Amino acid sequence: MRETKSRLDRGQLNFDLLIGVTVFVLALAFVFSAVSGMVTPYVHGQEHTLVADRVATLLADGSFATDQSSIVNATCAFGFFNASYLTDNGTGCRIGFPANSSSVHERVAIDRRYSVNVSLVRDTDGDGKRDVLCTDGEVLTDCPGDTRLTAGPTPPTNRGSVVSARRVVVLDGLDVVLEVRVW
Amino acid sequence: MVKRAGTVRTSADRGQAHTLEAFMSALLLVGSIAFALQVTAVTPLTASTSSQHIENQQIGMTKGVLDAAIHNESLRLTLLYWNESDGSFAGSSSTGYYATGGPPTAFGAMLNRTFGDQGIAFNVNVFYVTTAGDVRREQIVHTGTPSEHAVSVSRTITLYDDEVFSVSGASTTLGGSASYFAPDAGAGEHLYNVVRVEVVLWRM
Repeated sequence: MRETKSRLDRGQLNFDLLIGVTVFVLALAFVFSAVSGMVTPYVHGQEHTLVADRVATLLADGSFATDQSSIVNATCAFGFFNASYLTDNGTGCRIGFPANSSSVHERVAIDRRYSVNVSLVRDTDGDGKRDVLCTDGEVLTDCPGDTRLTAGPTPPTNRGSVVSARRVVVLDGLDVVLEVRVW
Repeated sequence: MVKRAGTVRTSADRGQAHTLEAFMSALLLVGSIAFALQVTAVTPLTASTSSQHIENQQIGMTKGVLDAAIHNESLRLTLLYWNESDGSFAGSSSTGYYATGGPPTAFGAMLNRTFGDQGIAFNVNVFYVTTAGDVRREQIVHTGTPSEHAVSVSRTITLYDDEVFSVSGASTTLGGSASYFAPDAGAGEHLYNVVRVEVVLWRM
């Protein structure tokens, strides 16, 4: 008789403990998820912004640069996207790059764990959106041309962590935007 | 019997003790998070690497736009886009500056194309030297008061006496203009004035 009651008592105690532990674990899970969500913007993307900015600066002020600020060397710029336009494999540019390397990572000297896309864009049809430009190796041409001035894979559109860096440069007498996207 | 009843009552009393403890600890956890958030206030002026990145991009792009405008002479032609009889920039509002975007020149088109659709507002100011040697400001584009995030980039342009206004049909030269905003700081010389064009940008 006493044992039965005692078991009944303990049964209620366990049930209470179960609710207590559940509530506590739920609160703990909420706190962890909320805090990790709060610091996410500061943890991820910080290095990506730096990588994107460095690549944009390297290309605009280094590899494509001339003596005049923001005026780019068309041969080096076109050769970056198609090595056949270069006779010296990119070593004659202000900052040389291995133009015949198929990997855009090697051409901009960044680690392979970052995905990078480099494009020269300009709003050519007046719709307010920038379009990728094309070239025949000498001047900018209408797309589709010989070479589309984009290198690297297309950035994913279904995730929000693609970081971009942009520079305005003068190429072939036009103001074009050098866009570097890293994700 | 009494003792047994007492045991039962004690168990019944303790029935919700653990649940209450859990709620109290949960309240403490959430409360401490809320307190930590309240004491570390993030204001618009708080230094943040993400907004620093955006400002770096705006500076980099503005430098390129100004360099391109100097390269194709459109910045000079914008400064010379002056309506001599009105005494203001041609096509500007009654206040003397362009209020809805860039001026109707190649430089203005470049500014609109680069920043107009990107949610970025910009002002363009010109700083010139008076005959007394003071530096004064003339607004070319004024779209509002810059925010705390604003960045500014400047380039210097030298103007000469014999430069003709770029408005179509105009034949007046800077040296012969009576209404131009900047005076002839180099009277008797070929030099007219040295002006600093400043573009101020901020996110809307």
